[in-house]
Amino acid sequence: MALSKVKGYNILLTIGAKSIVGTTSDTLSGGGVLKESIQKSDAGQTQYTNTGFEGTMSVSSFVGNGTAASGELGVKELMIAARDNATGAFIYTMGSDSGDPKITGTCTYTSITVNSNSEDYADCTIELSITSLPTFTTV
Amino acid sequence: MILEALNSAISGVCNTYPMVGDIEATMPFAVYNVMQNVLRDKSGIVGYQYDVSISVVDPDIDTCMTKSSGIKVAIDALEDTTVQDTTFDIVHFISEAQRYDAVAFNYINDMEFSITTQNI
Repeated sequence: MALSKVKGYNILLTIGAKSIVGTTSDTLSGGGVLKESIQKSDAGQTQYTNTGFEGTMSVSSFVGNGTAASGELGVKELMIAARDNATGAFIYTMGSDSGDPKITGTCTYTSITVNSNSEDYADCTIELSITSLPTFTTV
Repeated sequence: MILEALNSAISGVCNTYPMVGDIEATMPFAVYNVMQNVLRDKSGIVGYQYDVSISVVDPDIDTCMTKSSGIKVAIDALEDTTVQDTTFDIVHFISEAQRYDAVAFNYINDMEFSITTQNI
């Protein structure tokens, strides 16, 4: 199968089946947690064992007033979710075609930062922690 | 179109022309130029940010600055209005600088604005 580069705007995140309205960019990062150990029988070779997964997601979006449409999360809903450290099932798709990668799991809102200056539209950054072992499947 | 809206606003103060090609104009006059930047979210285009340059030309520095002040007021007044089908969200005066054209014997006041609109 020939590989084709993924357009950034085709990578979509939903949390609780809702997208964050006005999203301009998002980041997903994470990896396994390594536990290091060594005992005499290892003959001086440090051993590494995967003991789980740690990951975070970060979303940047415009701030919009008004009522978010169904299927969307507005800044009000995001601030409430961050305040309560709400948890939701997330789906992170890297395309909409059959066979495109899809990551699913559970995440928790950890914080929201609203940025505003005197010259531009206000924007905000939402930080989330991945709190379950993610599943990697396809669309 | 923002060019039509700018032309409409500035022409209330003095003669104005888009900055294209040679201009033979009655002084005082203003020339304007815009550079468009597109604002996008993942769903598509959500607005436009323009770097707007306006230069006011006149052999008399006082007239040049008076017309410039009038243009600043006219451009600032575009915020939160719709002119020539362009809806203006944010209008900011950024800077201005004066210079003298020793060849044409004219004073020129160069002004910079940042304008954000919802549409073209």
